[in-house]
Amino acid sequence: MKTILKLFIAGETAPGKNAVMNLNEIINKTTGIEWCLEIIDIYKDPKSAIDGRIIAVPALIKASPPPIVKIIGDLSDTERILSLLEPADDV
Amino acid sequence: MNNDEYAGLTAPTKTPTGIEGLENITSGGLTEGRTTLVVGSSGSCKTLLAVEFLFRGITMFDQPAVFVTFEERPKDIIRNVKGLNWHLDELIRQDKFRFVDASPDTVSVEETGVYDLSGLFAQIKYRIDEIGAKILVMDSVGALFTQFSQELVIRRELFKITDYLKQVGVTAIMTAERLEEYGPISRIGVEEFVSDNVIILRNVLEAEKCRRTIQILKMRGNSHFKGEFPFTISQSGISILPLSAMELKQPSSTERVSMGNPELDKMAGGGIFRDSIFLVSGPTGGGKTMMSTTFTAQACRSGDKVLVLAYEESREQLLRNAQSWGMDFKKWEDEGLLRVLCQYPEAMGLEDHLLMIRREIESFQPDRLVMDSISAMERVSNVRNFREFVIGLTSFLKESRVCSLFTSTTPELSGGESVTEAHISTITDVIMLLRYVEINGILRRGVAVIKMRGSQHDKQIREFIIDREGLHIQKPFKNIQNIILGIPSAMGPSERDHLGDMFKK
Repeated sequence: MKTILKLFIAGETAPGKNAVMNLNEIINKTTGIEWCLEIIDIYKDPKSAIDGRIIAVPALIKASPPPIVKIIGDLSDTERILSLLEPADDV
Repeated sequence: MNNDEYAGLTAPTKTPTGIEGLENITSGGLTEGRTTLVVGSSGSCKTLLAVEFLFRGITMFDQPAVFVTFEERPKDIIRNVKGLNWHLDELIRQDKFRFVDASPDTVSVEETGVYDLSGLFAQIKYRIDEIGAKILVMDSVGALFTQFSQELVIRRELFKITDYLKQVGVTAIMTAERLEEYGPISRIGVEEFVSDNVIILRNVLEAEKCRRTIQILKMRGNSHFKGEFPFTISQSGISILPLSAMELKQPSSTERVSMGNPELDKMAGGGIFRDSIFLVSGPTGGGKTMMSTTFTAQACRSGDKVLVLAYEESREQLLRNAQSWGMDFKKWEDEGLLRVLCQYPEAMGLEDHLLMIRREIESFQPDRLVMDSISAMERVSNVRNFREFVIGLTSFLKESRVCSLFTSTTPELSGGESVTEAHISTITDVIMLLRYVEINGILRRGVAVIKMRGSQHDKQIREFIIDREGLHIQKPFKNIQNIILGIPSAMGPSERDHLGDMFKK
């Protein structure tokens, strides 16, 4: 199953760049998960901010598989991010 | 250095809000292109004021509007004002209104590392551009502080947004909570970056009644009225009663109207002026209702429209009593000359009473008004509110040029001063006193005009009687003193002499 991620950034800002960098690092580090990442600049596409209810940026949304996870910030705490993104163990 | 940098600057102008009374107390509305902070405790109607500002702005002044909500969901806001017949959904369809939904997320949000609120900024910017918005509301910024933990970031972003609004010339309201009615301006200290304009809303329990007030703490641009003004909420939204803001600038009239009795008119130097406020004061059973009924009948007979506000009698009683004196109130009502409203003073607060009376006057457009009695209103409020009510009412009546008769019941049978008189006597133009006069063990009724602004009047105290045909003014009392000021007592050499010439011409 694909894990669909959407990363919302606002133009060429330091937190945005860091978020992209940190997320790439996380993706490269993990094995066994098929990632599908979309990066959206809300300044270029403000409608997407409305649809995604994006108030704070950078914002990462794990749209699928459920549950939906929303993380804001520059994703600097990679360990924590990974634990939030990894599929929950089915009981 | 370029000294022309400051050339061509003009004073800030005002944007009208369309909220009843707000223009009066702010001298024209909110400062254009600036953000006004509206603070108030929970339940002080901040959101309603904000929504009304937008609704009126769109429907009255054709200014597209954006509502940024940090707390309530857009659907709830739309539904909450449906009862007021404000159809925001309709305005959205017409591309005149937009929401920015920044209400708390349904999914949990994790914070890791550095972030800012550019998403909010981008959404606001997008919505403003989309419909060409001129006005905007952010409600309420306190909720933003519960959604995000980094206060510094929020403050910086709010500053960025208000600065942007200033640049693009959008007039805005930002609401914020406060915990105490009289204390720090807001809980979260947002006033530091929207310090230009601050409005405080209060909701205080006074004499077991809710009293809502609005205060303009600061307003850039030009003058505004200081102090708290009561406001009330009705079907037509917020109504601020700008009591002391009203000016005594009404043109005066020299046309006189009859009080319904030629002798009575003679006592007042030929009738009362058409723009008068006429106070009839007397003990219970002293003939006040008779006086006001006569006044009403005369007005209807001469084709004047009369609004009768009765607070002590039921409609049936009032019509029956008038009927017994040969005055057909029912007929005049059917002809559209008369409107009788009976209400318990306790039915609502004084602000609501005042608003209702104003609405009635606006819709019925009467030439005269009768209020029987204004002292009944004392029961439902404290002295300060009552005074505001009286001032608000009389200035509105003067403004609408309604010739008005108020009755006031004195607390003691022998006369004496009531609260009503203390507060209303300086505002009224004509004061007539009705008193019981005890002479040799018999109670008789006396009437005197003690004040008549702008005209001569009879200084004598006359006897009057009420019979089947109504009111009759008799000769003046003679050789009796202290009728008005205390216990009447006979004077003169002997009982016989005094009886003999008491009613001598």
